[in-house]
Amino acid sequence: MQARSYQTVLQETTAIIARFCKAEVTEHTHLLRDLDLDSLGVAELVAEIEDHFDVMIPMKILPELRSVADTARCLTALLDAEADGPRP
Amino acid sequence: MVASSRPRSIVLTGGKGYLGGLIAASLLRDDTVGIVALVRPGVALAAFIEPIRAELEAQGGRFEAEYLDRIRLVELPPVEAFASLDKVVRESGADEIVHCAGCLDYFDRAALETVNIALTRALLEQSRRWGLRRFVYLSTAFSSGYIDGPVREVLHDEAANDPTDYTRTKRLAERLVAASGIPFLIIRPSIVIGDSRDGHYSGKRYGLYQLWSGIERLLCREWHPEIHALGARQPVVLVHQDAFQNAFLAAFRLLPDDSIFNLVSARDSSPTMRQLWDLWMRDVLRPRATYYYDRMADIPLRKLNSRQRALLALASVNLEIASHPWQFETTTLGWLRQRGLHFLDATFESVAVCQRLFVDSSEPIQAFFDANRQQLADRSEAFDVDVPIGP
Repeated sequence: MQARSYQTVLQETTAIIARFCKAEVTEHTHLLRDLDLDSLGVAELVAEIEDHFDVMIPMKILPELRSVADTARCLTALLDAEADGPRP
Repeated sequence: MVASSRPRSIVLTGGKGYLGGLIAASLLRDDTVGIVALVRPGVALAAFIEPIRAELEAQGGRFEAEYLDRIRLVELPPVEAFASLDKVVRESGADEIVHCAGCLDYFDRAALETVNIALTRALLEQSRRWGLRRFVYLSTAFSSGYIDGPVREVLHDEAANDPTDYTRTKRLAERLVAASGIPFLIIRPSIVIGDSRDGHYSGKRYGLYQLWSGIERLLCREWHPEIHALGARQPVVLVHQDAFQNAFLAAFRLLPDDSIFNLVSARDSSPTMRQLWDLWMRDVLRPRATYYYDRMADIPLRKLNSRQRALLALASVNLEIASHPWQFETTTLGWLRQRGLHFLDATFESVAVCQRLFVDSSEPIQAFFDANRQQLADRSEAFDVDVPIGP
């Protein structure tokens, strides 16, 4: 798997969230407050994002994904780690 | 049941919420007290009474015109301006408070501290100033945190491990209530589900309904030939909302001051999480195989479809709570039953009534049946996955 820059991931993440929520979304959009997503909505959105990037977002990180930027940062790190492959 | 020296009026917080609304409905229908409802700014009377009216009608009754005369809506001011409530409380003759307002957002620690602790502290100070004769506090059965052995009807010590900050803040609030010097009644309901008679449910989709909504929206988009679930064989201690209402009223009327009441169904007749999952597999999802795990950590999350993983993430806290071997002391419930309380324990059969109504009223689930009729397995196999504990 190839690592992607934060900007690329952000662009794709923003597009997924905007399509999912049918709303205008920016880097600073807050998932719960601005998009009126409940916890179930967030779970559905996470599944969409995981499918798109073919990654697994660890459960313990989920509560930290409060904004679009948080999500993009987390995905960038996960994609980086996957591109590096398993560590010895 | 005979009431003893009941108040003319009570102050109610959280009346716009699920449990507070059930309490308001019970007090209006089955009692004569007036209600001074403290509500968030902007809540109109029509919006306040609508869920109460709907609940009364769902139970075969009606919202009588005289109920309107017994409700007074008052905006809850900022804590520092609570003194502005003095006049309305004095005029109403309120001599008790029923404090149901709470924050349920497991992960918003700041809101949990503000609402569950700071607001309770401020209301206690105010109640002392108003000279109220009792402070009734709606807590949770899980306020003990994860402890070994029985959950007694006493104040809990600090727990080594809490399911969430919600349970921790509720435990701290209980202590504030008990230390306030005001006579108190602490009621600790477990997970409240639909009505035992017809399954109707008037709350937000929390607790078991959060799991069911997750199944509806995440697992019913397509058929899954295999499903992985956290399905411990521990009883899930639930309370039907009609049982909650009856028990609240009985406790409110009969319990002596300084009582703590675990409002829970009998453990022996409660369904297990495994049974509840089995019901979904049999009646709705119908996979070819279900793999059951005892602990979340044992589930091979990376191997799962993203929707199943999302469901587990969504429900992980509640599923882990359900996996703990809770044993609640029920001395007070027994005492109230001896004095006439009609309390129907939640059982596998009664929870199935609630689930059936949920399934029958769900458009996504009916669409799932229509789209997957050919694939739904006639017979589903269940496997217990025993994961060996490492060295």
